Amino acid sequence: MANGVSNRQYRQARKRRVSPLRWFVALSLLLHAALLWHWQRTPIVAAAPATAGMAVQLLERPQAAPAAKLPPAPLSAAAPPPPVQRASGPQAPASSESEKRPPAAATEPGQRPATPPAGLAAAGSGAAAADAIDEAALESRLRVTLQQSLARHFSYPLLARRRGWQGEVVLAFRLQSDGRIIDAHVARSSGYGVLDRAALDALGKVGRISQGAEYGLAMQLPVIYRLEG
Amino acid sequence: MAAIMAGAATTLHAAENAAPIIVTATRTAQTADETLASVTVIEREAIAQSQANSVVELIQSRSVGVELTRNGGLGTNTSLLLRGSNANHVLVLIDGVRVNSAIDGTFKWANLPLGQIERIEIVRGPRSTLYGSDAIGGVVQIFTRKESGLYASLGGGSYDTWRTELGGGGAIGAGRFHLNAGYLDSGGFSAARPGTFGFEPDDDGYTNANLGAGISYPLGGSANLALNLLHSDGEVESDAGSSTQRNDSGNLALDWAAGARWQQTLNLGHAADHFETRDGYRVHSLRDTIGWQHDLQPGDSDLLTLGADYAAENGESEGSYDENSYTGALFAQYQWSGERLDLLLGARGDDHSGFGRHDTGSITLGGKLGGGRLYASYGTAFKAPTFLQRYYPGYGDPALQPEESVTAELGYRLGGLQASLFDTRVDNLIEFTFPAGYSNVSRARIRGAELEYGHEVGNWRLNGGLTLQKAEDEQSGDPLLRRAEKKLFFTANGPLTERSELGIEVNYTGPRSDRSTTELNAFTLLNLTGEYRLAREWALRGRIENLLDEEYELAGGYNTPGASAYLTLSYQR
Repeated sequence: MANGVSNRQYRQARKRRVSPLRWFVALSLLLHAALLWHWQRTPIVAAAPATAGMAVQLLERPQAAPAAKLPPAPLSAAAPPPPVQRASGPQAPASSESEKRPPAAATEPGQRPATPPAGLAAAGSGAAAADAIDEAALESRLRVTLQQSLARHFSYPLLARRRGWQGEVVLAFRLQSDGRIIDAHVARSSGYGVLDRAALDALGKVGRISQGAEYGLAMQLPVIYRLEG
Repeated sequence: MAAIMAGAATTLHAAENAAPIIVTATRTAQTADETLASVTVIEREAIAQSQANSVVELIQSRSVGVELTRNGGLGTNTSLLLRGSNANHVLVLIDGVRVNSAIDGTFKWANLPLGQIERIEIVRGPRSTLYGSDAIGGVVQIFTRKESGLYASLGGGSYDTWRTELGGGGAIGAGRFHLNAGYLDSGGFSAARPGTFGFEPDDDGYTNANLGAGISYPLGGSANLALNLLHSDGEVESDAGSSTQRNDSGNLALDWAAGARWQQTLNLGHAADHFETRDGYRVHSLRDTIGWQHDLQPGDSDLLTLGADYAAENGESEGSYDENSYTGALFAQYQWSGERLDLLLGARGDDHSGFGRHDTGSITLGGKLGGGRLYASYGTAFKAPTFLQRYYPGYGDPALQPEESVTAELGYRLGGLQASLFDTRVDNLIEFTFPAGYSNVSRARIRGAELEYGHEVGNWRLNGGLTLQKAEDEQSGDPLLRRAEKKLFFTANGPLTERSELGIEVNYTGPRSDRSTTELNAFTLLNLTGEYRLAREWALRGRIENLLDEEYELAGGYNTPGASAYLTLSYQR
């Protein structure tokens, strides 16, 4: 370069105006050392496999009054926790709220809870304990069947994904004794017609589940659409 | 694709309430679905961590396929070249509004304040079938910042630089509002190097004041009305004197559900680009647009988009020309996103008052492969001739035809890893020759490979990318100027202690040629960033730029910052 010398002189003159380089180098070394030290101390955790596309999950309803709003669901979709297998024995209630309800029973799809939860009598409010246990167990099974039958029909609408729409739709329907789902409608909108319609259509596709309720059971089903990543 | 997971069942305490079903999906970029295109997304969190002084530096430090050129320090003429294409081959949208100047087709990157940005989506590859002209190299879509609460920051550092931001947002009735203001003043350094034509040894500074505001209001019946405005006013010095660059953009969007599976959007947009030098050279670009888009969702896994666009553009160079052009367009896009297969089809017809009708189309096929997704795409794009090329006295030609491109691409995405191979041919490139002026004479071919990954190790977020490309003039075989064949970047961000965070940015750009046989040397930039939380709402942030004090050029004959440091005190509630 023809003007290399003047360039260098000029460059040096310019450099003098900023803080001395050696400070940066010293700071850099310090930060690097700190980082290396930190990295060695931090256990390296294998990254969770990222979900490609979509996943439908079932979540047990957290301890909340029927009408209460859902708390933010505690699930991470990138690495959904495995189905919880809890001991069916009594558990120490954590709060007055959980005291009111029976502890969770270990359940696989289509499998009966091994032992009726001990604290169940409290839920039967006045009914005979044994009846309550039977009913509760039945309902528990019904609930699992219902969830298993429903979940695979739900998918995230492409338009909602593109627009970043999320929300909760509450569907209401009646479960008949032969397992048919009737009178399905949106009880509470997500605020997005596309999500409401997708949820309702998915429920429509279910049509009938393998287990019915002895009496026509009116049910509400919250469907939460959530985007991640 | 739908993995089902059963939680432990509890007894049906309240018979009428079933456990919720949670349907999750990966968020997709609004511009294009990542499973079918090469996309990089930069969120506000990364913007705040990086503390970069300019948008292009931030993009270059975090995206493959990007080249940055700049004639000096902050505020000086800056270009972003996407996938080796020209500076006016990247379409820039701010909140959906096209903001490229109608005069020369470029966007004034130097005048876009980072403090106004919430999210940047960089979509590589042709997108003319959706957006029309300019989207040959790709699209960069900017979403402005819409915070809840209050934030403020004050910072300064090398080259007598001071920067402050103040803003916030919240609820207003049933709706929301946001307001962001920013000011930057930098003493700078001489833009030109000694020996460059017109060199003056004094510092060339930059001052910018910017304001962003908006409201979003639900009208009931799932309709929503949103207004977004952005104003940026810059005063930049160069060796030739000082000039003013002013950019304004805004849009009014009405969004409503016309049916359970039918969404409509009516979008009015306005963009102005005003440039003037102190000695009286003034050019203005104005564009008003109206767009009407329909998104129809036949099923959950497909999406049909139909739309109509109309744009009226005015370009004026005071005392020289004052012209208008009008473009009407119709477009359609269909996406099928199945468990095993993806399909994307697009077609668009543009009718321009100058050159007439121009059609573009694209097809993308994708599918599941080895845990990831593979796609292959083929698409055409174009760039309408600019006002400068059509009306520059003595040299312009109103009969110029659009520049056209064809791109084939193969891509694969597996978790945080994405790889793509592309081959683009641009034909009818408009070139200036003396004394003939502007004419559609050149052809170029750009081939490249891009590899980008992002993952987390503990609490550390790591990102890296490799770009290999060959951009050449098809007639002479010479490489296109200022495009490096090799580029590499790496970033790491994570906690150092409970209260502090550290970030590292490394950027390597290989050698490339520039005008008049100059070769620009390869360079490596190392930047360090740090954050220390003083209290819940207060943080001290620092950035050391070009720690190795690398001497490099982004444009032949022009200076770049040496080792420099910046410190910012920020508040967020």
